[in-house]
Amino acid sequence: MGILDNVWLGLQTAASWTNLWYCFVGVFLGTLVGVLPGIGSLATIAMLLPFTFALEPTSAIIMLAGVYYGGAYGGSTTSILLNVPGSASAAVACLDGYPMSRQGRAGVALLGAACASWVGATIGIIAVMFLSPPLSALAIKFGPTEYVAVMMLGLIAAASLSGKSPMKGIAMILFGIIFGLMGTDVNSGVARFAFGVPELTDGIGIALMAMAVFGVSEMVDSVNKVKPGHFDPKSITFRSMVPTKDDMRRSWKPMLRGSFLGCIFGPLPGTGALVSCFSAYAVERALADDKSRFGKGAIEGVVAPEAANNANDQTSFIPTMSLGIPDSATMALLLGALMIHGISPGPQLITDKPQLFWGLIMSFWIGNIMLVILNLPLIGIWIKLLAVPYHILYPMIMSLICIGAYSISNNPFDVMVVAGLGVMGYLLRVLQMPAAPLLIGFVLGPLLEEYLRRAMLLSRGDFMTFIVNPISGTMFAITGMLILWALYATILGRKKRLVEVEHLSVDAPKVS
Amino acid sequence: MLPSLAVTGGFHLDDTEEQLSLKERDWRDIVGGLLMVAFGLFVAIYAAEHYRLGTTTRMGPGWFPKHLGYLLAIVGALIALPAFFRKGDDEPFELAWRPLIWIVIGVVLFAATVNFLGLVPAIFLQIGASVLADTKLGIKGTLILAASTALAAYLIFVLALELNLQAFKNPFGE
Repeated sequence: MGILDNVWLGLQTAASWTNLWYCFVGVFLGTLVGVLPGIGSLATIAMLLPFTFALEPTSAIIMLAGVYYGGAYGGSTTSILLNVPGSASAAVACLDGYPMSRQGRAGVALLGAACASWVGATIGIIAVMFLSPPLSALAIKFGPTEYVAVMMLGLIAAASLSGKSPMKGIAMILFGIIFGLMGTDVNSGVARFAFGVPELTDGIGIALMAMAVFGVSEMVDSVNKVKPGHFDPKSITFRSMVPTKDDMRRSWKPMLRGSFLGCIFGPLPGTGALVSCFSAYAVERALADDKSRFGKGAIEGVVAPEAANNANDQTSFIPTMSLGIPDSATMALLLGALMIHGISPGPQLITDKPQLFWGLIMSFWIGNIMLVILNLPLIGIWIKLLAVPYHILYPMIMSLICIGAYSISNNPFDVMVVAGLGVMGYLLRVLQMPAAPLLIGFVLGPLLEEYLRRAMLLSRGDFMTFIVNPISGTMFAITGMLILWALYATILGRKKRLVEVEHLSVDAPKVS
Repeated sequence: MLPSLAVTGGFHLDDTEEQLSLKERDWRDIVGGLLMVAFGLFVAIYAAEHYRLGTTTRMGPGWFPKHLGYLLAIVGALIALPAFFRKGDDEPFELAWRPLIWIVIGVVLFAATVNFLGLVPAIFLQIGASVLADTKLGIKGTLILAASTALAAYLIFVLALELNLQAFKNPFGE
């Protein structure tokens, strides 16, 4: 099938009334939680997960993905208007977006951000369309040995490049894998780490784990910290959104450069939206003739990171959908959602379920158009939501978590599990142990064990097979270097970061 | 490289002994690392004792968890050890006890009562406990919040999504 046939198939799937509805629900909720402080798109996807069990897998994944990229739109809105980033990566939009807003150019900044988001997403979607199928065609030839190597590389890269301390990321990967092993072992039928509790013989569901570590612990952490914001929505009219010719001339190149950077960092494990945004901002600053304009309301500083952010969000689906290896906690959750529906992630996904893959991609496009429509004319409504005080919000979110956990199998035991894991998640948060690698390890753990077993069976227990094989050998060499770097960073460098966020002093709240 | 290490307060073998008092050390990472060591060792030993290990060629259910456990213990030690020889950062390392306790009690109350009393009482109890995490909402506000959440939950989850939940249950019936 040519790419046009696939696009047609995808459009047919995504444009069915059911899927359009779920896409709309997804991007609507995404924008909502993107605007609301103290709750991120990750926690929202976790809470929605139990309610998607009854849906068609395609509709479920279209909706959950919509929350993910919808959150990026909403997050930048609050950055521009209030200097409060709704999500971590939206912090960059504060740097020049908020000064623009103070100069009375909030409308232009919002329109620029929305256009840049759309351009970035579109370019990202094209990259997904053209890069995913060949990558999965390559990976489908992988045996268990290569697959173990790819997984190891993905896991270690995601752990060591994203957080403050690479060693802590690696610890949390291992921690997550161990939790993922709870329950019945497929090979021997032995229930591992069930401690005689019948409910634990099936293991802990990904929805419970995610609701606990991203939902409960985030609520506990945000109480008394999040403050509501106020902004007069009357000042944003359609007329105020009209950009000057100068704005347009300045914007289009940064949008393209930002999208390009997002497409590069998006598929790489460990380099998330934050890296994309900051590098896009840094590039624009470096290329500008007059650097002093940055930080004082330069439109390039709004559109380039915004385009990078959305290109990154879309292209991070490349490794997830074509290899079955998630590069972020959100992607791990989406893969978990597929697994709940009995779809095993991996290189065979695109050929086995073309309707799901191409339907999802085309839904990105539809969803991004919906987002532009949702965000610009309705901006006043979103801003009013900012005034909802957190002390009213968090008890309701906790109700939602309880109902969601209970509804998975109508068992109060699951709600208790969320309580217990929530305490654990909060302790880890206080200890600054990153939760994202935990979730990635949790999802990939059982697969890693399975492929390791097969690889060892083939090689008759010889670990040299990983080094002798050229593909896995190369990957293990890169993995080894990352581990060495992690060792160096933990022993010598104190909390080194890939991106120096500190010197750009942004009042960023802790967001998943 | 050296000057930057000095600035970031890195790992100085020669002068740390005198300069760092016990209190100043990076206790967050020491505690975190040691907890990982303890958890890793527990997993490894538990797996080795309870599950068949098998061989590398034919792995039993215990092989992977045992090795993962030891690996986690090593990584935990690598986090804790350097932290002992360096200064902690200025961010306070403390638990927000009040929100933690009341939010978790709310979840536990929901779990304990949802099958017994039904969805609406469970939500009232859960919200009643959750609002104690901060002190901003009075009794009247709490009741309004609980009532509107329960109503919304009933409309969305029981009527619209038709989940297997009952608004009220008679604990003595059936």
